[in-house]
Amino acid sequence: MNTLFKHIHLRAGFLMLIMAMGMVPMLLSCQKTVVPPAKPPVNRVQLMTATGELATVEYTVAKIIKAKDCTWWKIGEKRVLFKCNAYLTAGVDMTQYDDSKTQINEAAHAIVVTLPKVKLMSCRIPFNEIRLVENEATGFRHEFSAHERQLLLRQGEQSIRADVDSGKYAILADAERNTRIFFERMLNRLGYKSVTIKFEK
Amino acid sequence: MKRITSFLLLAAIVGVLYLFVADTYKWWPFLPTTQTVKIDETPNVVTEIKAIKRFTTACYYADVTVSKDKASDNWLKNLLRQRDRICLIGHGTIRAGYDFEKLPDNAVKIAGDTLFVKLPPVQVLDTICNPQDCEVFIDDGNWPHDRVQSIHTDLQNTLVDDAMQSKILEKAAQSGKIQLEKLFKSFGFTTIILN
Repeated sequence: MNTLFKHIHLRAGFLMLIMAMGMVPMLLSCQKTVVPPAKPPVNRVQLMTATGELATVEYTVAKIIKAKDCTWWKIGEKRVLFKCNAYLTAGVDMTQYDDSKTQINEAAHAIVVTLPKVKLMSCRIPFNEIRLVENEATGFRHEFSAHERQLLLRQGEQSIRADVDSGKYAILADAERNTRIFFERMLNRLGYKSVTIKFEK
Repeated sequence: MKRITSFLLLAAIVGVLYLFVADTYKWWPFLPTTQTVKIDETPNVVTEIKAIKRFTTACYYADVTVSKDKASDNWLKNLLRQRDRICLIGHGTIRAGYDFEKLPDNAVKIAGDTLFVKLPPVQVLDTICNPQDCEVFIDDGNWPHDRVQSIHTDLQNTLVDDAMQSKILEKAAQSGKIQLEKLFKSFGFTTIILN
């Protein structure tokens, strides 16, 4: 019996030594020596455009993002729970404003303004407002990695955008109302007594 | 019998060794790596509706990369002098313009056909780099959420700095004045003076 164990130990030790010797250069090869470039690399692509978006309403949408990964062939499971806020703004794109459609009656101090159709301007999910409430793993599982967490957050954003696209929120109606109030007040201040605000269809 | 036992023992040792190395380096060649976990359906709740008056007159779009490394929590990687690395690629949007909430009460003065408007200063109104605009290109090692959050903040600061260097505020002021002049002229004024 002793001879058997001695024999096994010897073989196992020899095999492990060979594997370790084989793996060290393989793993070290992952570490490449980085030569600093003479000039800093151009690591950005940029574009600047002129716009004219007048946002008149902002919705704050709260979302809980939760996911669980448990598969029968993996021992244990991992769970994650985030809380985040999304800020949606809507209003009118004044670059589409057609001034030829504005009618003025100076004698009556009346004006009719036709504004472009209201639309969603932006959807902002600040990363510093994404709170990780739970992130745990049991059994032989690891917690969700940074890449996996990012993919889950993307799904959360898609869910919010889907709600906006489906017209679940009254954000466009609110934007139209606020834009009307904004222009009515401004034109009253500019001396018009009768102000009519229309929106293009 | 001896041979079978010794073979099984060797196989077990090799298996455990493989599992350890594969787990450290996330090297699972026989498993699909692109398996995406689906999030549970949860409601999106509107918590606040606010009237705003923000006039965005210039947008800056840029792709920025931020890479960081740190000492690893794993003893094998430490032994091999390897560090945990992360690289984020962000496709950000910076929006600049006027916040008309800051328009003073005496901002508008009229003298016949001439309109004087004292505009608020142009400012960066929004920095947008949502999860869909951000990619984790390298995710090597253990990167907790708060650490990724601080890297994301660096990425956004870089975006704002770049936008400032590209003179976004000057562009926003120039574009805003052109559009406001056009708007006020359509309201019947012949001369517009914007400060």
